[in-house]
Amino acid sequence: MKIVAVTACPTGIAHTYMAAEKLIEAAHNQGHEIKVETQGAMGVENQITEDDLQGADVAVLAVDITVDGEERFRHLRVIKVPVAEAIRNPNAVLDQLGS
Amino acid sequence: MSCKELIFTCELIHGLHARPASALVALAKEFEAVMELENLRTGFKASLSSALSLIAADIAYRDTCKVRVEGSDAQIALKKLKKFVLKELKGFDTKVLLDDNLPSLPPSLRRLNLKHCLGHSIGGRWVAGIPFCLSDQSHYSNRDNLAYTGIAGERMRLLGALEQLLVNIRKNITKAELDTEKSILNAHFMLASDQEFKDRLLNYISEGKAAHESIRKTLQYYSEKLETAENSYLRERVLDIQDLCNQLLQLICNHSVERADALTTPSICLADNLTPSQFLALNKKFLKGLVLENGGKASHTVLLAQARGIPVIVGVEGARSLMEQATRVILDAKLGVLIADPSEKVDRYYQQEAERLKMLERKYQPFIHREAKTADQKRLEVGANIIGLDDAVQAFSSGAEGIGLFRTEMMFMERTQAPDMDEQYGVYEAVVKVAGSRPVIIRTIDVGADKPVDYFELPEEQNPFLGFRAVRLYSEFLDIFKDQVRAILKASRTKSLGLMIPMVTTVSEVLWVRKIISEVKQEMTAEGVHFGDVRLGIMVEVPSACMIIDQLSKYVDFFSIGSNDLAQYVLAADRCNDRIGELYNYLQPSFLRLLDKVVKDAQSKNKWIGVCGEMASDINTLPILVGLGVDEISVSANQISAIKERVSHLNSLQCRKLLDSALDAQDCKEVSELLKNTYSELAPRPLFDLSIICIDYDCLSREEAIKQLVDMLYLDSRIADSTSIEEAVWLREEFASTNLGNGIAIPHCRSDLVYSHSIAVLKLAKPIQWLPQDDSYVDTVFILAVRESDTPDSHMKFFASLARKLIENDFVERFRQSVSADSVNQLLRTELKLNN
Repeated sequence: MKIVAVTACPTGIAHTYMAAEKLIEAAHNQGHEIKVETQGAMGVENQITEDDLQGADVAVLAVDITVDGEERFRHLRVIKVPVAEAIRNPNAVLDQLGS
Repeated sequence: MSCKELIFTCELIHGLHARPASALVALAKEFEAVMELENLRTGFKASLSSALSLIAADIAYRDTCKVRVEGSDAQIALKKLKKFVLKELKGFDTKVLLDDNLPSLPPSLRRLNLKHCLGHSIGGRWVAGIPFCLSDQSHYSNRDNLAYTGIAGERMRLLGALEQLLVNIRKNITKAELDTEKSILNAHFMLASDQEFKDRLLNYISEGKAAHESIRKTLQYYSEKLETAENSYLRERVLDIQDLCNQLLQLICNHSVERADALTTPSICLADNLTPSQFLALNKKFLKGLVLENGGKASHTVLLAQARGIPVIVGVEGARSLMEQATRVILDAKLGVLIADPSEKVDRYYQQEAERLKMLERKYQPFIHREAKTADQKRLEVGANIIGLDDAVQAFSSGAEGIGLFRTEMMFMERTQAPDMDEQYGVYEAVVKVAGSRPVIIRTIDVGADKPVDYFELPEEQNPFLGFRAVRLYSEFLDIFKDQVRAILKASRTKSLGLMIPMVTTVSEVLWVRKIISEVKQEMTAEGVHFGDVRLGIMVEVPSACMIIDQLSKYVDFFSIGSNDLAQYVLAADRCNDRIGELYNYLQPSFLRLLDKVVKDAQSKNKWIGVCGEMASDINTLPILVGLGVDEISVSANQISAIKERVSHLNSLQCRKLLDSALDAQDCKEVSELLKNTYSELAPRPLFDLSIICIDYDCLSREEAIKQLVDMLYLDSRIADSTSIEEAVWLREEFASTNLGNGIAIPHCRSDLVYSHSIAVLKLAKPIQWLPQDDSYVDTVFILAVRESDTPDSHMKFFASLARKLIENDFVERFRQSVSADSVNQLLRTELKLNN
């Protein structure tokens, strides 16, 4: 599956980036393709493009705050989890995708 | 369309009440965006369009709230809102805080399930000890059933007691060990010999009252009169009258002055209130701390305790029941808290505090007896403000490079007549002796309607600050002024002193003073009295003087800027008036421009120029003062080493640049922003280094770990204030635990009180449970402190890289194997690809 994801936490210093790392690792292990956009203290990085959206099957939002551009994913199935969940149990998060 | 959120803690002591709520509504009105607030404690929601709904959300002190902002201008609205809650919200408490000074406990203490009560903090140390409740002070005055002896007899009785009282006080004055004790006893002597006091007592006798009844009536009369006074200083004089009346009653009844309850073991004492004499009668050897349920902060008893270094807290409601049940208490005079039966955790908190103070002392110690110099070797003398000999001794042992301001009026206040030449000479001479080769500037008396001295008999004025005061009254009180000049000249025999005139407005005032000085010299020569030479200086505290520095320079040797009065006059704002408190600020660009002119004008005439007044003691404005290029700052003794340390980090050229920007700023808020923002540039710190890596730390809880890490940041001058940073970290912790589950926890915060981005590391001697419900233990704690700024800088990426590393198993393994601070430092450096 092709996943687009966004991670964002209140201070944007640490958990945003850890969640991104964990999701990438778990996705690769499960054989998915993933692109993770981080919205942290450094602003938006690795931004999801129009092309990414076109090719995506599902969106994962690991966020504790409202993120910029959530409406981009309207056409996709969206799985929303707290950041901590993505860090602690990234596999369980991805299990929600089904197959 | 965008949507933003903001989480904040309500720092208003009385919760979000009507005024701040209305201000929030006014702010929200400026934007199209819809703003909704949720009180995370209660779950109540409110709209920022209605003040009533905000009040109904029941937002109490320290409640965490979330505001959701949705709309086209959400981004700017959020920014404005954030600025408001961070910077301005607290301002709605100002009046309350100034009046009551309600303490706020740091989270690392507050979270420990304390049995405590709060009082008013007066500052000072903490102390632990056995509680002892002193018996009620009024009981001995009920034992006076003396037979009535007729008007003449009672009159004799009363006058006899009054005379004996004066004898006793005089005896105590000679026995007093400290200046403060002497001056308070002098004040009592003055009160006891007051004619009105005596007349009132005798009036009651003539009405047929017994002596003891007259005393009670008189006490009642003054209490009622003073207790309703607006001025808290006056209100607290009730205690002094009570003291005298109690002593009179005792003399009449022939009771001994000793208190019934003499202390026999080291104790923390509680009393409803204590009179100065009752305090003096206590055995200081055993008096470790004092809790007054009802006392005021400005009472003479508090001053006496402070002079002895005994921690005090006052206005502590409920202290008695707490103390009666406790077997051990901690009195923290700095935080204004009394803690009963402290738990092990509380004791450990205070051990940590003790360690922090020790480290702080160690940090400042090397600077005590060092000349203050900037990083680029520019000199800035750091002198001290004093009011007497005790202060001078303390100032020099704290590292004063001179006395920049000796406020002599304190020697003239609270007594019946001015101290004569010999008494003054004795004090000045003693100060000169302590000073050794260091300079001393003595300011001649600065009294007037605002600082009243009874025997000057000055009429009340409508505008005391603009009236008959300081140098303006010297010609009318010529003898007193001449005595002072004579004493200063005589004390200059061994060393040239600075004689400084307050409130100079015109050149002719200086010429007049010079004429008087030369007259006094002629008189002394004629009398064969030896004297030395003085350097003549003036306080620059009246705007008109600022405009004629070049003319004044012809007749004076030095200048000292009195920032308190000068700022009031320049800004036309009374600093004691809360409603215009915003205006009175020595960071106002207009005021800074004037200072810049004054310093430049003085230095172009090669005149020495210093700054005394609060501005000089405010460590945060140091870069401005260094930028101005003044020769000296005169500060309170306890600030000296910290100021010298801070100066050593500053670069004078950068400070000048900062000042130039400040002179162009729109208002004082912009200047304080500039000061905050540039501090990290003026004294940069690397992201981490050995000073913020601590190994094998003995720690039992999350509270201890966070406190230790924040203390480490503070000790390394990386944050402006420990408590605020702790609060920010706990705010994040409460949102969601920062335990990563692999033995590492990463508490963190983003704040503009962080001077430099920092990563501090604490490896624990034994693993701890981060949260009670956690199944995984934590043995390593990182604190990530990010400097809040509008534009993210390049260093931010290191936090992101560290975060990514911390969940990599092999990094964690290598980190775990690094057992020394050096190897931790090295590993982080390599992994984060930090150069040097």
